[in-house]
Amino acid sequence: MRRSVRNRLIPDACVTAIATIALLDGAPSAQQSSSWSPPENLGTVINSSSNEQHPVISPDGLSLYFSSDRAGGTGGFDLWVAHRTSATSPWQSPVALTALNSSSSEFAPAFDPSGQWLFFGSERDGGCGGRDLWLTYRKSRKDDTAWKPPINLGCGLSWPGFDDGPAYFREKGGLGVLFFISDRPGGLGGRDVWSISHRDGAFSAPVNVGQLNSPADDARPAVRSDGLEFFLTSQRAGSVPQGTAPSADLWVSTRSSTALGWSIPVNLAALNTSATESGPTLSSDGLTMIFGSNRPGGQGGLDLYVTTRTKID
Amino acid sequence: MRSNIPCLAFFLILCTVSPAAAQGRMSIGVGYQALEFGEASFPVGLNVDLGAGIASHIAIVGEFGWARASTQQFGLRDITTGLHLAGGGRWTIGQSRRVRPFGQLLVGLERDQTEIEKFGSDWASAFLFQPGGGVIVRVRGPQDLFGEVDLHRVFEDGDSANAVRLLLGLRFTLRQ
Repeated sequence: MRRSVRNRLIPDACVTAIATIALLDGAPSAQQSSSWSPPENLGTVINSSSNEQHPVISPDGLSLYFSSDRAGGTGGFDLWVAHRTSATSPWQSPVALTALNSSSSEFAPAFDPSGQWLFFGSERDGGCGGRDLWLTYRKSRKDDTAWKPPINLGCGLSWPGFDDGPAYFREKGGLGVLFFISDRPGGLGGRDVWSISHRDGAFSAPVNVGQLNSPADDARPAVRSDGLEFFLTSQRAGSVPQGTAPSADLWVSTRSSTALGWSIPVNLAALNTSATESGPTLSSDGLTMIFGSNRPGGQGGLDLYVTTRTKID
Repeated sequence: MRSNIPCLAFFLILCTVSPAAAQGRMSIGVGYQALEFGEASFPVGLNVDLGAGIASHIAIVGEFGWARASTQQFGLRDITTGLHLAGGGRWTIGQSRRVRPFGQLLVGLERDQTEIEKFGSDWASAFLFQPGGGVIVRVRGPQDLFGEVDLHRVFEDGDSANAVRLLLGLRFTLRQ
């Protein structure tokens, strides 16, 4: 139960500089940051010949959760976790989150800022049909075996189709927003980004975040902890082509205030290839991104890659 | 074990203050406490303390506190109960005055239970560090009113959290 307060002052004179950097980087950002570094494969400790995807870094930066269909799980895609002793230490071998996995598939874990709540998508029994959003809790932020049996977010929020890819942030004033991906009616086409919000009580009805969506599939978002930068996976026009079709790429959108709308997403050209880049996660300081890709040079299937940037004062 | 905690706490407080009590005045205080962590508030609470003077301005103090918070997390009812047991020293200025400021430093343990709808309950323990101070106002004879503000700092899971504690209550001096 602690609170971190960040104060960022951005004089008007710096806005132009920010916009310039953003154009080079692909998008404007309220946090002044350098360009992303060339992505590096997380190596054979994390990656296998199977698929590793949908990573999420815990708020303390010491646990890496991801979804994988590697051997040793419970069935289908399962949630796995790797630890490190410090932010600069190497990741240790992943272990399956047996408390959370089922004989069905589990995808796209996402923490709340406290590290005590975890959202994820699953096709397990007891849902509303298709893939649903599930929620679990633990008292200890350090114990990955302490997760309680997950509960479904409810059929008032989920629908019989596809609901997955959660990403959560909480404003300073206490309003919490859960972004997720759904193919429910009312979107712009395919899978879209939707959001539900709450202030201690129950979640609101889902709202399509039209500014972020396209007629193509838009998937697995990540939102910076201050709610001002949004990353998503999309195969929209402008993605790097893979043959004759657009590949899945990483895109970024920003806003200068959580009360304002999002900018038109911009392709993160420096990170994308003609292969798939998907399912990004940001560290709590917004300076490290881990995402999945099946680009050449990996271990097989989708692998996890890491890229970093530095804050510009 | 849970039901024995208040009894154990009272026994430990007595053991802490009894040796010092042989040397001077003893006091017992009862008060309402509220804790504010910033992102979590515990508006309901009770605190009991025992003090034993070891010098004219200094007393050894033991206290036991209980606090409760009821909120909602993602639409689920969340009730958290905190128990703390601490000991240390209190320095009071101007024993003969009607209004007497004091400073206090306590260390101890906190144990809290969180009960969340559909998820059940869990306990966790933390080390407690609590500096603070306040004012004592003599009401009548051995009866005093006191108000106190403390930094209630807990260390758990390698992290720490700060709360401000407000305490208002009555204290009775048991003269010897």
